[in-house]
Amino acid sequence: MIEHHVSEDLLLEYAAGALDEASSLLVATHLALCPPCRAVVSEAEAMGGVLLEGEQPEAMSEGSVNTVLERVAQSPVEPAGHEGARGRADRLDAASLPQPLRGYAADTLSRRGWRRVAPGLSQLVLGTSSGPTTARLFHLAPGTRIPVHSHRGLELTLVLQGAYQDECGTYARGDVAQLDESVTHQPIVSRSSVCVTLAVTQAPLRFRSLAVRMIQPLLGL
Amino acid sequence: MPVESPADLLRAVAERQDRQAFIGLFRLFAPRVKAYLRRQGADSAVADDLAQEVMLKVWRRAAAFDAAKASAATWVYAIARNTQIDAFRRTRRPEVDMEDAALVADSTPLQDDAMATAERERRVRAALKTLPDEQAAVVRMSFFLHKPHAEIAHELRLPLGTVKSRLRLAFGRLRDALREDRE
Repeated sequence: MIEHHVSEDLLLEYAAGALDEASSLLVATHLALCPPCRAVVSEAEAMGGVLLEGEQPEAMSEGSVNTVLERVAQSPVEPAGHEGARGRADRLDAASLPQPLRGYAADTLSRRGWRRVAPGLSQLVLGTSSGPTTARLFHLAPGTRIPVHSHRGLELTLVLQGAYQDECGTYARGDVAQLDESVTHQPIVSRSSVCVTLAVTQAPLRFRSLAVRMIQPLLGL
Repeated sequence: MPVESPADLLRAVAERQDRQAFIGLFRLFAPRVKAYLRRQGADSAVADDLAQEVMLKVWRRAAAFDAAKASAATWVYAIARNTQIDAFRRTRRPEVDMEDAALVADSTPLQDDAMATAERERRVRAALKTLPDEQAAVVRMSFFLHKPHAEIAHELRLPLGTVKSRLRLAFGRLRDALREDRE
């Protein structure tokens, strides 16, 4: 059972198409694992539907319906198909990653590998469009302790595999932690298995220890 | 002969590639999608081209339309929103793949039929009409102009918390309208 959900504010922003690519990727991955949040997004989209119906129609150019009909003649109705798991599943149980995250991970891994940033901690920065927000996968060995840190912007973490604990609770597959400037925490990975998370950050993390802060640029965190 | 609903027209396109049904959908939705695209700042020619693009996707994806889940207008809205993001922001908008094997399926089966969906949308429409202006304005800026909450707050010179609470209140009304018939 998922206990920690994406906030309603963020679901509304996703439904409205107002989120950047990296944040959308995290929300879409949570939605794939969380039917109740999918229902909220469908309800929110109904607002868009009603607004669209209420638009004052603006005449289309002459013959445009025929232009489209000519084009559909060359393009049949799409069957409901999808891509299976593929790509290098290095360090990942690729089949357990929902789409579209699986595609992003495979795409990134075809170009570069995981980078070790500290003992027990590797990261893979995913190829989302550039901007202040980045999406990355973290691969954490069982029992890993992340140094105490707070955040300069919003940080979203979605657990994909394994579990970790911090001051706010336990996070397992599908759970999302939404953290801002006010939270300082020290996540500890459960001892029983590897933990894989998807993290979306708006700005670099702020570590409490000066020593960690000094080497932070080298770690790429 | 009863007038066919947009949901019926979509089904006719999916099942029989019915061109007359598609023309009906086009007349209904293309001019509204064009008006919506003009709001994003597109000129008439660009909005026209993109509206055609949206309608082409409506044809191609008609089989994925599920009247129990959304009204035709909501379904077209989602396609128009995504097409607009691709075209104007030049980024992707990651979406849930409902056919994916790794998807956690909903264990509560949908009991609603298309009629119930249409009835709910009618209530949503009524609920949205009675929203206070200040709430309606943020709903429009969010769902039509796709502005992040922080940007809406900046433009309206309001605290971010106020924008979020207005949207939450508006959404709360809409959910009440959607759930009127459920216990």
